[in-house]
Amino acid sequence: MDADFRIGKGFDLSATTMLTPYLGAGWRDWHRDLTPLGPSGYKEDYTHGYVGAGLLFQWAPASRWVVSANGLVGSTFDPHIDVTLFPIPPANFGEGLGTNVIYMAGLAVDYAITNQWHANAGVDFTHFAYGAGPMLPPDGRNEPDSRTNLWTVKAGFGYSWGAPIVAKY
Amino acid sequence: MAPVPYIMNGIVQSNNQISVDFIETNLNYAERLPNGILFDTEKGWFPGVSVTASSMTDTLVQHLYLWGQVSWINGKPITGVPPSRAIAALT
Repeated sequence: MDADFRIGKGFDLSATTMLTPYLGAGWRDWHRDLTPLGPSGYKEDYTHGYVGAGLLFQWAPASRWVVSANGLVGSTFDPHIDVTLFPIPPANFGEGLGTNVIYMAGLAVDYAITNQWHANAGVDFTHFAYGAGPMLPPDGRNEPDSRTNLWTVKAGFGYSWGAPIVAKY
Repeated sequence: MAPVPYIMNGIVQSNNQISVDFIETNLNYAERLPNGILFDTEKGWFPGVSVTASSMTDTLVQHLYLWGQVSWINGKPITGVPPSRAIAALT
């Protein structure tokens, strides 16, 4: 499960474009279940937080349409892994991992079917990495360096409580 | 100088929204040992859902932007794990 948050301030570049610098932060938890491998299967639980700075550019090319592009560069913090192996009885170990840079980018389009109901679609990319954990006693086991790339395509519907399009001079 | 017009345009309206999306995530995960050998991988597409809420108001400052998203994906590992990893798990 991922949770992502932003806070920023939009700047009107024109009547149809806006640039919003923002601070982004979030948290990721990946339950990796490899027990389908059989007797050698195991479970891993990777977690980390991240914080970074981003830019959101939005363009309304026509009435009802908004195209968005965003990007963030930051760092992970507090990366951790918990591993459950399955000899009998199960054996567990956990350790902190190394922090590293995180990149996030996205493109999206929003169409206002009505003032309230919207349809949207987009694609997001996230890259992050974990540094190797320390060697653990008694046998020196550890989690090695890793990297993760995520491409996400999405489509859905939204409800807007924004005011209808008006002009105020 | 004439005042700059402020237009409550579709961008602000779009940024005041809660949405639900069906998502499909391509995961590409790889672990490497210090000698560069690929140790463990997992790849594949995982379906899921995300809920996004965003707000853009002029309450404190003009165009204060708040955004939050929670995403969840689920699926089985598509490509396997190198035997080295499975062996290591047993030792």
